[in-house]
Amino acid sequence: MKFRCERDDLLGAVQFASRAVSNRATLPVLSGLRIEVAEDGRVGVAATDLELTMETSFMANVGEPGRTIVPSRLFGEMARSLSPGQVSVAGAEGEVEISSGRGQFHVKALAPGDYPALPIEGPSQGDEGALDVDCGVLATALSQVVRAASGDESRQVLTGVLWEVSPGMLSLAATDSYRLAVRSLEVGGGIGDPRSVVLPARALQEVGRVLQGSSGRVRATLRPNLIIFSVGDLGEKTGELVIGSRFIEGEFPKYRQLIPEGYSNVLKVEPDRLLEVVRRVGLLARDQMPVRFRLGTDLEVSAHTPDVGEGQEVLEVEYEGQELVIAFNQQFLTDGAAAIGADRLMLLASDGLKPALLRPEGDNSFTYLLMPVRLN
Amino acid sequence: MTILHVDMDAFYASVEAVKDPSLDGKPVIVGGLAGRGVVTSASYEARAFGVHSAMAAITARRLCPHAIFIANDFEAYSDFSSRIREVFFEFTPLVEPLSLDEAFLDVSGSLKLFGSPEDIGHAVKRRIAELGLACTVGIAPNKFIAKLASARAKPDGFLVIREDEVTRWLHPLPVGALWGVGAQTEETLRRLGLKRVGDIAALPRTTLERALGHALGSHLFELANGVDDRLVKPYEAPKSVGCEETFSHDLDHRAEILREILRLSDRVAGRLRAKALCGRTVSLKLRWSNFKTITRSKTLAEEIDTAQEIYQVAKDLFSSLAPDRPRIRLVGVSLTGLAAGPPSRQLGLFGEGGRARRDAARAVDHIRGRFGDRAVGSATLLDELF
Repeated sequence: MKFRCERDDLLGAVQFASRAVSNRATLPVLSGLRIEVAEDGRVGVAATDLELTMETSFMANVGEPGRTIVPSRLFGEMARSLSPGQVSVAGAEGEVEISSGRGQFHVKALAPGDYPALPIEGPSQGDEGALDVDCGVLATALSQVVRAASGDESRQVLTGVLWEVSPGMLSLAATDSYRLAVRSLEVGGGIGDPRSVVLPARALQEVGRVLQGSSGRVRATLRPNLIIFSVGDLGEKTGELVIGSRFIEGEFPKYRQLIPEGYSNVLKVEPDRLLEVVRRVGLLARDQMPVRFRLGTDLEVSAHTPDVGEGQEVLEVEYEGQELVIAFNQQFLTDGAAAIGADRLMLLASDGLKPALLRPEGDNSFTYLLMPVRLN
Repeated sequence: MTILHVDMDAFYASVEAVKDPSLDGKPVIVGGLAGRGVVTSASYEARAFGVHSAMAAITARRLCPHAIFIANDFEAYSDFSSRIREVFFEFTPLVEPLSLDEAFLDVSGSLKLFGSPEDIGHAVKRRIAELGLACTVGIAPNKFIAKLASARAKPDGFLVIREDEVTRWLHPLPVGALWGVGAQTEETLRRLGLKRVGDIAALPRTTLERALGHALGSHLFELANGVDDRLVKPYEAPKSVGCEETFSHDLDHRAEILREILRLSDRVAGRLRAKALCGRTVSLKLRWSNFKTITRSKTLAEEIDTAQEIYQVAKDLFSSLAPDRPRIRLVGVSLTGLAAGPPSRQLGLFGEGGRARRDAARAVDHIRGRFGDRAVGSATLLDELF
C-alpha cells in the first residue's frame, strides 16, 4: 500500500472518519482507522464502532493498492501536525511510514485481518429504497428534534429519534419523557411500505454536522437493520461522505396520543424576545429551579433560587385565554423556543400541570410539547 | 446594645383561654390527659397549687383536682407563636426565637424609629395584649441580663436594667441565677463560700478559672460582671434534618439493617414535611460494633421529601458500602441541601413525576396527625407496629 496526496485531503478524511471511533471500543482493532487504497487512485478512510460507521475518500497518486489499519488518534494527530503540502504514506510489515518534507515517521499498524467488515458494506439486496432530501432542510429538522432525545442510557429507545417514513413524507420525533419534539417534512425518493425506525441521536448529530456545511441533496438508504446517509458525489476529488447507523431496537412510545388538542389559552410572541427575557431572568433559576410564567396580556417571567436571588421581567405579548401560572425547566423551554425557526411562536397551555405546546405560528410541521414543573 | 427578652406567661394555657374565654381566671392545666403524660403548661391559677410544667400529670391532678385539663393543641400554639413573631418583626428584624413562647429582640437600631427601650417594650406588650395574651419583658444591655430580668419580673411584668444599674442589680442575686450554673456547680461554688453573684465578681478571674476549670471559670466571671457578648441571632432555617438510632443489640442482618434505614427514612421524611422542607443530599451514617463510623452522602438533581425517595438513596449508599459482615450498632439517615418544600418537580409526559407518591405521603401525614404515628406505615415495618 502506497500513495501520495495533499495533506489537507488526508487530514479532512481522517478527521471525518475518526468521529466514529468509540472511546469504549469493544474490539481493540476498532480504535483504528481503515485506510483502503484502490487502483483507480481513490483512498478510502473509514471507522466504525459497529453501531455508527463513517467513511469518505479522496483522490491520490496511488503507487500500490492495499489496505492498512492505523491507530486513529495518533494518525490523526500526525496528519494535523504535518505542514501543508505533499505527504507520502506507505504500509509495510505491520507498520505505516508517513513522510512529509524531510520528516519520516513510522507508526505501528493494527492487524488488518482482525478488522471486521463495515456494517454498511453488507449486501445491498435488502435495500428498501432511499429518501432524497435537501441538505439544509434535513439539517434544520434534525436540529429541531435531536435536542429532545434523552441522554439516559437506561431507556435506550429514548436516546434515539423515531423516523416514520411514508411515501413523500418523513416525520421525526424524539422525547426524553419530559418534552417531545416532532417535525414532519416532505421528502423525495421512494420507499416501498411505510416504515418506522429509531436512529441513535449520536449518529444523527454527526449527520447534522455534515449537513450544516453542505449544499445539495442527501440520500438516506434504508436497509433492514441500518440506514446509510450519503452526501456529495463520488466523482469529485474528495468523495462522498457516508454515515451509516444501526437502528435502536425497542418500541418508541406512542407519542401522538400525548399531544392534546383544543388548547384554550394561546400566547404569541417572537421567539428571540422571549429567549432574551428567559435567559436574563433564568440567571436566577439555578439548581434546577424552574422559570415561572404568568400568562396574560403581559407575560410575566420570574425565577427564584433560595440563597441566590430572584428576578422578574414583563414582556408584552399577544394573548387569548385565562390568566394562568405555569413553570418550566429553563433548558427545556429555551431548547423549544430556539427550535421554532419562525418569526412568531405560539405557546399553548391548558393549566399549570398539563403539557404546554410550542409551535411556529401558522405552521403545524413542528411541534414541541413540554411538561411543566409543578411548583411547590 | 439594647436587648429585649420577651417571655409569654403560661403560654399554652393562655392560648387555651383565648380559644375558650370561659377558661379565663380558672386553673387550667395543658397536657397530661393520658395516664403517663406530663404537664406542658399551667395557668397561674393552677400554679398557685404548686403545679408546674414538666410535672407528671398524676401529681398535678392530686395537687389541683378541680383544674380543667386540656389536651395539647400544638397547631394553635404555633399559630399564635408566629403571630407573636410578626409583632416582634414590627420593631426589629433581629429576632432570635428561643422557643414557641420566648425570644430575644435586638432593638439597638430601632430606637430612633420607635423611641426609648421602655417605649418599645410597652408597645410590644400592648400589641401582644391585643392578641389576648400576656407576656413579661426584660430589657437590658445584653441577652443574659435581659433574660434574667424577665425571669425576675414574671408574670405580666416589665423590668428595665440600665447599663449603669447592671452590677448593682445583679450582684445581690444568688449564684444559681447565672446561666450555666446547675445544682452541681452551685454546690461547688457554695463550698468555696460563694453565695451571691457579687461574691464571684469580687474574685480574680484566674482564681475562678483554677477552681472551676478554664471554660466555666471565665464564663461565670464574665456573667457575674454583667458581661455577655452574644449577639441576637435571627432565626436560621435548619441546615439538616436527620434521625439516628443506636440499637440495644448490634444488627448483623442486611434485611434488618435495611428495615431500620427504611424506618429512619420514614421518620426523616415526616419531619421534613412537617417543617415544610425538602432536601437534595441524603446521608447515611453507620457505626460498627467496634465504633468505627462511616458517613456517605449522595446529592440528587432534585429535592425530595418522601420516605420512599430517601430510602432508595440511603439503600444504594448502604449497598455501595457493601459490608459483607455487618455488625452495626448505629444507623443514621439525614437530609441536607434543604429548601422550602414540597419540592417543585419536573412532570413527565408518561405520567412520571411522583405525583401519586406525593399524594400518598400527604395522606399518611394526615392519618398520622389524627391517629398517631403508628396508625399507618410501611408493611415492612409491620411487626413493630403491633
